[in-house]
Amino acid sequence: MSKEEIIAELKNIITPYSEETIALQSIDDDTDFLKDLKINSANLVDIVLDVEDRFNIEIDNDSMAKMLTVKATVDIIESKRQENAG
Amino acid sequence: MLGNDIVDLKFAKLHYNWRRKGYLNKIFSARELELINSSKSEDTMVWVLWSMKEAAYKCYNRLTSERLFNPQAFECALFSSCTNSASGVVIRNGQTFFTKTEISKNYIHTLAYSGTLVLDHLSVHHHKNNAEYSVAFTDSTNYSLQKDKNHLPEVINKKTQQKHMASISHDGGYLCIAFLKV
Repeated sequence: MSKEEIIAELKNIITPYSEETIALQSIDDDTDFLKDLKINSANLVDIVLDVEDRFNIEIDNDSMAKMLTVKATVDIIESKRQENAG
Repeated sequence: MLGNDIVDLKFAKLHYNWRRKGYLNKIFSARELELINSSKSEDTMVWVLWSMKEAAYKCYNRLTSERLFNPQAFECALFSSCTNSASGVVIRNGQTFFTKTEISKNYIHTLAYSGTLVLDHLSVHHHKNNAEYSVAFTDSTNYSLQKDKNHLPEVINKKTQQKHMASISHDGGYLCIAFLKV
């Protein structure tokens, strides 16, 4: 799965939890879930669970702590997928 | 330090599904889960503890500028709780934050504070969650709202021009402003 594919999938996951349609359209590495997408932290938990389900990975507390931007989330998904493959 | 957090219970019911598998385990410790399980109203206890963590996070963030999504690292303990209020502490990295929670039919609001602050120093104002809240706040109090140099909210006493720390939380239809009045 390429980085672009991961971001596209992540966008699908995030969309139901954000009303910031313009920020969602221009989603990139630097997009911040709270500041840019105005996602409520109670829904950040949903995003963590959705990412676990969709990418078949387990996100530990230390990784979850960093999941505030698209870049950090993609990095976590990529490293957990590598762990799974290895 | 000061932080607050409000949960709109009707909004929460529609948008935050804490009964989802795995959800509570991402947020709460075994001891906190026990508090929830043994509570008369699980729904209320989930949001009481959640708002304690969020309010304490805001205090901690003000102290350290640390920005992490780590609700498990904020451990809650309750001194007392009844149908309309709860008080307790949240501990993060050896730092203690005292909390006072108001429980109503429609919302749950927690104030967290630390250091030399006491409840008597704090004032809480409820508003509708809309773009006019800042004007509504200024019109109904002796204070006006602005951001400090770190982009955190503060109030200014309109008479004395004295500035005080403030915290703003909104959820669903509710918005709550907490500030130091002395």
